[in-house]
Amino acid sequence: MLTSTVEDLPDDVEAVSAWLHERGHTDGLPVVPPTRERVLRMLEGTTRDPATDLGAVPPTNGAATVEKLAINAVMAGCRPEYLPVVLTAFDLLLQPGFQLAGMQPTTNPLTPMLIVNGPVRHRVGLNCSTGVMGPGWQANATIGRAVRLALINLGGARPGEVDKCTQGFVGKYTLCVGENEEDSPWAPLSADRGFERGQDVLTVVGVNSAINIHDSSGDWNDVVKTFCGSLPSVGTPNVVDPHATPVLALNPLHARILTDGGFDKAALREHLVANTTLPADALSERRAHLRREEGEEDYLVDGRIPIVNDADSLQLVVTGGMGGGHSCFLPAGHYGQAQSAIVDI
Amino acid sequence: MPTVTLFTEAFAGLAVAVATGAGAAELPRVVLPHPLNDRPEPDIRAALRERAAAIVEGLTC
Repeated sequence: MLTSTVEDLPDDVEAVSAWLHERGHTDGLPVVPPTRERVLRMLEGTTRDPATDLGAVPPTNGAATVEKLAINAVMAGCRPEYLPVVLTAFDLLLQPGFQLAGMQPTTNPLTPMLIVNGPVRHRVGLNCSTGVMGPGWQANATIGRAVRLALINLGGARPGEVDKCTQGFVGKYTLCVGENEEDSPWAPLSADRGFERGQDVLTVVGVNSAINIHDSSGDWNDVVKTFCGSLPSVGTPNVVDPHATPVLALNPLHARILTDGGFDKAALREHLVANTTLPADALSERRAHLRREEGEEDYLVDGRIPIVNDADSLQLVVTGGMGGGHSCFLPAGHYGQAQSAIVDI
Repeated sequence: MPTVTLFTEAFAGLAVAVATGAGAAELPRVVLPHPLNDRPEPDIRAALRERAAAIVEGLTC
């Protein structure tokens, strides 16, 4: 049933981690030894055949078989019920529109962000509330980590060697969140992306490090003003890619306050994109050149440079707790776009 | 089509990995000094001139 090479090693975290680390197969943290028994147990989390090949992971083009992804999920510390999310992530990462080949070796601090909607969030214990992008939850921590380990081990993205990220980004260890659908006043991200509410949907999107947006005002005028002032930045990667799909992750409190101003998601997108533009001469010569590579006709919109040319490209997700006025913006730093699919068991 | 790939030293490992992954491990390659971003144009031209023979060889091998 399993076809991977079996090494004669003790079932010992320190010994196996050291052996794998010497060969560039870890993210630097200890891993769970992927014994045959553990991999078989992990595979009980899916109905997919272990031999199924989801595709070649660039740039070294290792085969993303269900078996190989299960091995990486074991190493990351996943439970079997998490495996369908990891597999679906690779269904999406390997879509041409995601442009994983560009992300893997880039000097840009980029990583896939996984956003989960639907009942699967609760089945796997995914945090959607307080501290959603931080430590403390096994599902969030290990699903994202499994994806990173597989990008290293199947795609060859070893930091410093093939992954040429200039400074790195802590989100490259793991970045997996559930939307806080229960506290959100709006339809979930999955609905924006064409799925029925209540379906288990995963969205993957390439993002840079998050920019915190803090405003503890209860007045929607204040909140939207702070958002509009926080999103535009000449150094933000998505200003050189007019078709990027950056993520605005609102905490539920900010979302509720914004509904007081009459904002639904479509109205908020339109308002933000119209009011977060940069002057035509804001970019350096080099960055203007990069933006122009996407086409002169897309360089300006109404004489200004918007953070995205199409308001629908801005991905709005409500996540986190209601303990404070903190939201965040995750710029999209590459030329791929968000991809979504139903979580395939 | 005859091809030679130019890259700077910092990207040598990546270049080999990408070429190998694409099934073209023997792709002719020419390595340039790193970084180039902060060097004046005459220095960059000189670096390329020094490697002109290797580039031609890569295109004609």
